[in-house]
Amino acid sequence: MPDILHRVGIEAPVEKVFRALSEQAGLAAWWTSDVKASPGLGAINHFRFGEQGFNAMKVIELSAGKRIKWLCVDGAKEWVGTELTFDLKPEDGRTVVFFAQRGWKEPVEFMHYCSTKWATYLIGLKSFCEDGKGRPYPDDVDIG
Amino acid sequence: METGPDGKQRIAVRRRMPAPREVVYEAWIDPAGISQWMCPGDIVSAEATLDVRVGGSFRIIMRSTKEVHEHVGTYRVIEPPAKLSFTWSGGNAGTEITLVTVEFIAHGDETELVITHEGFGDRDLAQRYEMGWGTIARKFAEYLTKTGKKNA
Repeated sequence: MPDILHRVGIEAPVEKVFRALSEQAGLAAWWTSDVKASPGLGAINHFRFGEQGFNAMKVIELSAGKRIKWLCVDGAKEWVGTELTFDLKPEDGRTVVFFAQRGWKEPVEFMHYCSTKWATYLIGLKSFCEDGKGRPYPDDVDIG
Repeated sequence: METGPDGKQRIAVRRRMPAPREVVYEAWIDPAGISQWMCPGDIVSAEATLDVRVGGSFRIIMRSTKEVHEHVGTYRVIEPPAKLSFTWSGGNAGTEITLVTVEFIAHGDETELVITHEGFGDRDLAQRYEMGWGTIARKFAEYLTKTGKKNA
């Protein structure tokens, strides 16, 4: 089962990055502006992308400043059942984020698309944490 | 309304439809028709995008004169012309993921439609949905009567 993996270094403390990954206002600033999320274990967070689709993520692990893990419970059929983790590693006041979306059944074209798309969103996460400006849907990067 | 083994609320709405079940089933998944009958409460129109296959998604945008409610879900079971089952979230359902099952039971030239909606954590919400699906079933029956006459 193939995984999507990314690493991004952010010039911001882990607390700030953790909030951007767990709270509604943070998630709205880099992934999609149409989000309903609460930073609690077991919460189901909803992310919508207009006509492009939606997904619902159950928060299955939440370790403050260290790790966030979601299970995709609804949305695109290729996504349902995948697990997404954001592991945060502090490094002298900055934060390195290790992202993974694991459990894809097959390396279909949509997986290639999502992999590139994740990279753009994670770069958006970096710029949001550093300069306050992300690229959430519908202002997201068009990758063709 | 009943409470399931998981402690969640479940509601069911039944109504006799004035058409054979093949017709009723096809009408249920026709976006053009949905815009006219999937209008509970003060909703005046609905815009549906459906990808009717197992794992496929749908999106239904309901509009009242004041508000817009977006509902989304994915199809879990598709057994034409007998049964459809899909997840449902959004609108007043908030962040809960609930499950709707629609059964089409043949009674000669008519069909009994049974809509079961389960997984509500909130009793009031389940009650509102019971009323909403009741209105939808009534409007769906009226729509089938109207289109049936047109085709006769």
